[in-house]
Amino acid sequence: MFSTLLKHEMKSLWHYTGIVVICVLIASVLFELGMISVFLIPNYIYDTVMVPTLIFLFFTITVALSYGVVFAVAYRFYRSMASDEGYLTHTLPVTVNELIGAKLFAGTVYTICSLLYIILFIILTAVIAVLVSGASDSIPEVLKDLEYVYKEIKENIPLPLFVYFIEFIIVGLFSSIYSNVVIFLCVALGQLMKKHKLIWSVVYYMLVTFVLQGLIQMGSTILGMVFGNGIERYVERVGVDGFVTVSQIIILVAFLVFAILSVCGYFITKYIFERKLNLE
Amino acid sequence: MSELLTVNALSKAFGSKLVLDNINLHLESGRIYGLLGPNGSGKTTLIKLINGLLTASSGEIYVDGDKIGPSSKAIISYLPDKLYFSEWMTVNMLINYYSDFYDDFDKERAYQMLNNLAINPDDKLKILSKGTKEKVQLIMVMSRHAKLYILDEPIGGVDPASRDYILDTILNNYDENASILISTHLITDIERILDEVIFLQNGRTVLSAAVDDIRAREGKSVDELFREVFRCFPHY
Repeated sequence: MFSTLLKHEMKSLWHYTGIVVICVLIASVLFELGMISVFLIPNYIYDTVMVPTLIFLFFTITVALSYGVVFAVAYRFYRSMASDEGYLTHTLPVTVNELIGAKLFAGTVYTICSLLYIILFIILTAVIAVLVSGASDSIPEVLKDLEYVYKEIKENIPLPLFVYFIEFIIVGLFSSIYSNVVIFLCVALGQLMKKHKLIWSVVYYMLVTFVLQGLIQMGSTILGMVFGNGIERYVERVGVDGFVTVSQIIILVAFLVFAILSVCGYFITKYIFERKLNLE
Repeated sequence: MSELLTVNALSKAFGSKLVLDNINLHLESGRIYGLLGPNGSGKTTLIKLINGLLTASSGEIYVDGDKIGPSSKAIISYLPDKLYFSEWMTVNMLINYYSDFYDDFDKERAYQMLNNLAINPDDKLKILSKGTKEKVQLIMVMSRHAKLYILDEPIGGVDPASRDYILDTILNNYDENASILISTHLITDIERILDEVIFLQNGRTVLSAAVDDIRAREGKSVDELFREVFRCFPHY
């Protein structure tokens, strides 16, 4: 049943995000064309209009996509779990685990896809800018510089770079899961209220994110106090090997924090929908 | 006949307000039960508890021997008193949705009923009228070969002509071995199809009896007995 739930969840999320995704794709093409035109039409007046427009478009694309997906995941979860549509959702012959799990999986896939799109969009923009601006002649030089940087890092940091890359992906994955779990948790807490469940969900979201951000900030401050006042002074003191160890500890702590918060949030959400369901 | 639904000492309170008080029910297979009572008597709350949409304050519910969960939901076909579909879906999508989740869903029967009512399966739900949406919802529920159909006010907000159609749809599409629990306060329209009645008042069961017994013992129709039991006295 999980795969069936997942299939319908992906479809439903596409319904909510489809328009945003299509608009973002069109806006991205317009942005790239606009950027090319700025390089090809060296006109001061044209530039003064186009450059701010392009900057605005760039931020609109990234914000619309990332927040669009977050909003869609939250709205879909609320609609299907805590509003009238819950009458269908909660009478399906599936467990609460399967219900929340499918929604979490689908939401995380959409979140990661949106992040990947933004990263690819930025890389594509940079590549097009280099090619169109006539800076392509200096590409071999840039590649040489990058090779030098890579060599320096490799020589000075004992860990291979791909370890950092994998760690970056894992922490990114868990932070995506965490952000969706927080949304689910707040919808679950909101549905415990007798009235205005949606408003209460939003209030809980603000409260929970405020408290969790505070805790994470406090943790970072403590780490900062433990490991010295400045990162440079600290590196000097402990040496590169010591710095690598500390950075690994910080990544591990970040991973554990996201993992623990996600697991706790998931089980509280599950408990509420299993034991405290109260559909109006 | 085997026992299909067992409700033991079930109570439900919302805050300090007790909505259901020590309800005991035993429903058998192959019977049509009327859950009757005035507005606010606790009919919908009881039905929602049986379907797992609310959690009981105390007491137990067993459906075909199992507690409320995926196995009970697989054999109950539930029609709530409100519309619960995603408006962006087409009727076809809805049929596929039901077919994917319920092994007992009969697609052919669903399309046949849609055809009888001239409902286009390609139409999106958001363009359908409220009455047509209610009919689509009924078609989805009655296209299942469920063991227990729970219908909450199926004729509540419809005109008398549609009431007949709905009751005929129910009677023509349920399996002989299945049971139906219908909640309503429109007794006259429904009395002819009922085998047994359960009267609820202020969250308590005040009567649970076979319709034939009521007629023989009381010499009254269910509607007459209902009016007598739930008579409203003006307060001066």
